[in-house]
Amino acid sequence: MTERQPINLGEDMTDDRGTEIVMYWIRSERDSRNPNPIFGPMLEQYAAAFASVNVELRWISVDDLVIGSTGGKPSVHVFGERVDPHKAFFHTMLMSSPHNRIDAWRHLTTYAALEAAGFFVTVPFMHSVMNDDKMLTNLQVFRGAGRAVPTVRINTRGWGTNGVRVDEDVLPAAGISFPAVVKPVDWDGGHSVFLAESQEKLDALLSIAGSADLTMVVQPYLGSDTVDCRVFCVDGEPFVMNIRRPVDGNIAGNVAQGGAWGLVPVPDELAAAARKVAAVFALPYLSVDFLVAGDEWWLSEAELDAGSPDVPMAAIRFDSYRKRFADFVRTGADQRTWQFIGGAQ
Amino acid sequence: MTTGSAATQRVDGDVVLYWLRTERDSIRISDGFRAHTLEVYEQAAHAAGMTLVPVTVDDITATDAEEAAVIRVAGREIDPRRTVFHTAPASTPANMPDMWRYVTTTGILEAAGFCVTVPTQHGIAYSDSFVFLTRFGEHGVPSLPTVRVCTREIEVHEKNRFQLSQWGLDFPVVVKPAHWDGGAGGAFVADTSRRLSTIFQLAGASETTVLVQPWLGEDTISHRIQCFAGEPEDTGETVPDHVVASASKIAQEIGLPYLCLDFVEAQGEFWLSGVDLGVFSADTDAKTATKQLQSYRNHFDRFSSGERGVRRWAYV
Repeated sequence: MTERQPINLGEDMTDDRGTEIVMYWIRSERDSRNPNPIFGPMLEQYAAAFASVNVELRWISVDDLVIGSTGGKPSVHVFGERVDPHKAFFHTMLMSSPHNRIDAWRHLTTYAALEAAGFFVTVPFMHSVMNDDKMLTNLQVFRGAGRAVPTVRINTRGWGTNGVRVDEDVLPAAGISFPAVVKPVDWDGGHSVFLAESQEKLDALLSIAGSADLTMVVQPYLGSDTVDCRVFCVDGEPFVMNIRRPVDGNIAGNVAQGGAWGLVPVPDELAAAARKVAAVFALPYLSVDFLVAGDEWWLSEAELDAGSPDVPMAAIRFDSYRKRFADFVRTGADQRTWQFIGGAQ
Repeated sequence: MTTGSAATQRVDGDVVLYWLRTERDSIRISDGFRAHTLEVYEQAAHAAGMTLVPVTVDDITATDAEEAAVIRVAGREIDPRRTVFHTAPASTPANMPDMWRYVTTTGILEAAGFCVTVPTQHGIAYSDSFVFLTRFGEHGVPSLPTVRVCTREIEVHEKNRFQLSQWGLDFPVVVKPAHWDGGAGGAFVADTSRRLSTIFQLAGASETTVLVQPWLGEDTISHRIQCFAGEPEDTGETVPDHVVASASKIAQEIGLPYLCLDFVEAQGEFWLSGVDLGVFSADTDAKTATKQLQSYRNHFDRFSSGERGVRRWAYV
């Protein structure tokens, strides 16, 4: 068995003052030993993007981090080497897709430990929870920013097999009829988005989901002409929109599902809504997704580390992290949002 | 929804306290659990004018389609004006497979406007003792020196990942889980490198994150101070005033209706050692349970009356 080594994807990495900056990207440890070849193009894109913004990227897992406080001051070691909070920061977006779910607790508590130790993180740990459970985003962030897609969130453990089901009036009460969209509440990439044409098909899907204790959401089907419009924001300001359109009868238009895509200017109406969502999160980078059907639109979700369709977009994303980190170092004050979003009193 | 949990039982009290549990023990509630835990807290809840109902995350269905979200428990729509959820996550090993579903469900309940006893971010951050010790070591009593180590594949990576000398620690050291309900239980004293590696590897079998701390000796005394709405209980003269003052500062900053702060005393020195967020446990006596539940009831009443500042969203 060989030691994992950090991957250096760039050269001449310095910040504005000429010192080296490292971004440790905490990946799931489920893919850290043998990077999946499907990520090859993404890794090449990121290598080019990081090189262009003078940040050295190193992939690590939570296991590579040791965090301690034995001399009256917290410190962090990666691969046994002490990390300087003025020269390094951590990308901390939780992956909650199925093979990563087993590690969610360790990731969230490690992110919290990094924050408590005084390190800059790109995504505070509670933001990860918000991001990954899409209904949580809807309930907290989208209020006041626009209409969200009606949603019923169902825990599926024992569905059918143990006599568990939802009363038949729950979906109609939410304005949902068949066909209805059914999908996991916390996956990404448009994976496992189904269309259930009847209660029987919905029951069958939820039974299968129950085999993994998945939490599912049921939403109305908005029609085959529905497109997904992803508005990218840097420092809270929308700057471009990616229109994603499902092809070959797919329900989801995500690129990972073979959807067609194209970058266009952001329409004023969607920019205004995206600006409100971005202001609540207060992160250096995020996207806000809308579903658009004809003249109507709905807020769909906020994606706090949305993948970038090309190298220039990836460079904008990572440069936003670098700049926010530079502010963190320069001011000595934390630019992160410590408030749980929504802040109701 | 129909489940095998107690959620289907009749609810009579003015206010319902749903004890949100993971589903790992919900199909069959053992006689021991019923006698030593459930009944103690049921009676305590009754004394505070509440009906205690254990439910699991599976019993919760959420709908977001109207102005206000609708939460159903076991199929019944519930009213935030007469419902409170006990949401202290039990982070012991049996419950770990469900922690993601647990914390997202508590988040949903908060976002839907329900009163919870432990907000989601407190449940995540302070179930891991390291975060607590790091945040509150400068409140009058120093935290125990602590190093937090992930143990997955530690048998391969130990030499590169962790060396005692790098952290200014010497043998013997205490190794214990970083969570497990406030770090209680599972403590192991390692007096040699071999014993340290052995316990690391055993923890690594379940990928349990552990804390390494100095062992303070056999004469070490543990002190637990209960705090109600930010106020420490009367400890008599068992701990010095500066420790009580520290407990007061910490409890007020965290702002929960109930929590327990742990200190250890060795050779006349005091150290902050841990926090318990109020997980219902089998070793709680009726008097303590009653005070805890009354504090939750008081918290709920202030929450319901719209008193500002009761609902703490801030990361503290």
